[in-house]
Amino acid sequence: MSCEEPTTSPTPENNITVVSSDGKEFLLDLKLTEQSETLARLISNFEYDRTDVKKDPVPLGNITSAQMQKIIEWLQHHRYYPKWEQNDIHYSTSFTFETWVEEYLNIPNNEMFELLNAANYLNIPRLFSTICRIMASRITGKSAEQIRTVLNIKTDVKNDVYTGIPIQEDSSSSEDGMSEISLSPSPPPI
Amino acid sequence: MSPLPLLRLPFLPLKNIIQNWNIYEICEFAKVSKRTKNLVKLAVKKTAYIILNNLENFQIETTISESGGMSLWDTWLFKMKDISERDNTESEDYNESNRTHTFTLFSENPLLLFLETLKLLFEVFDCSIHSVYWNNWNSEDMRPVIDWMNGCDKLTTIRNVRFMLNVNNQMTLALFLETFQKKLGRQYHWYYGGVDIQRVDGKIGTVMWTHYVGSNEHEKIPKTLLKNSRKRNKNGLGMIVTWFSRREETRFKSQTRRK
Repeated sequence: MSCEEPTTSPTPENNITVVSSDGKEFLLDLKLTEQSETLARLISNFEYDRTDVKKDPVPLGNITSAQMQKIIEWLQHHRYYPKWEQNDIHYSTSFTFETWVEEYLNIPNNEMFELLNAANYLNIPRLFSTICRIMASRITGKSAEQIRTVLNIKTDVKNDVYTGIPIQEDSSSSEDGMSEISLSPSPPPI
Repeated sequence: MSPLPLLRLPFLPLKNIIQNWNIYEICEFAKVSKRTKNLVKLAVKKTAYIILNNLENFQIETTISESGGMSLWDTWLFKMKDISERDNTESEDYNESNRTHTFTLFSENPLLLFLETLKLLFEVFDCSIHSVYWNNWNSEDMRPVIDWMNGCDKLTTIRNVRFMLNVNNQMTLALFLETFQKKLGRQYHWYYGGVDIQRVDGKIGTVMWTHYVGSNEHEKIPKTLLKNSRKRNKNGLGMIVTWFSRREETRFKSQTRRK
């Protein structure tokens, strides 16, 4: 899908400022924030879509400037896309993406992990779903043993009944603790 | 490529990722560790209808449904083969016409693999066994499967059980009747008509024709069906029914009989 992307420069009336965890400010067009349910709800709650309301910068404590830059790139590209609707993703056997998305997400696993957490926090469903599908595609067709390699799981527990290969407890460095980002995104504090 | 830190994700994205996988991938992920198995149990809330078969190899046919029905969904077929067959078998196949995905798994002990896969499916999904076709099973292989069925708390009823008896496998029905402890479902077949058959050694048996399957046990047989059946019988079926296999060429004379 391709959409025309007319160039528009944010003006104080139609934008808000978000501040990343490392203190960098980003000017965001209100049109772009519609793709983020977290930001859209925040803007609605504080009536930032009104021109007569003073807009304070919105701190995004869980998102670094690099991640924010990447997210803005995504929002810009999908600016004129129709509203995201979740299709029936279950049991899909093919994982195909448009070229732009393939290139956009051609990043190391750890960066994609951070980007997914950010998409989850900001509640950007199209980005969230796309990264989930990309991550899912990295497991497809793999055996349990191959998945252990991909996930870097090391500690043995018992032998696999099928193959005799050790089943490993997930205690590797890649699994130490869950992400600190909350499950249910809520508007960041003002 | 750096490791994929999948298990450090919050549950919501992890659930979304898991739901992108097919049943085979979900099972493989569940086999990785206790934690992945628990995650899969939380993320996958689906009903799986299972049909067990043994056509040249042990087979588990699985249909996943979220709505309670099972007709419009793809079928996932697990075939368990001996490891010696690995070289000349594709491990994965999809048949578009009947929407069946086939996964061939290899093991030195296909029966054990069959049982372990069955156990895993029951752990991960909300499973029920719809049918078991014991046609080609031998008693030795049946016994551990029936033992598992008897011990499986999640399995209460098997809706449909079929045997095709011949001189070589009469013991399987006896074994099943003696050892199976769970309930059997009802198919609500209407039998209305049949034929008496006489073997060459003089023994007579009755073969009942199943012409219709009712939707419930209280539904009456439609009169038109009965009428048509009687009309057919009146015309005389002087038929010959081949018993056992064609190879044996053991033929039986038959005569129609109104029930």
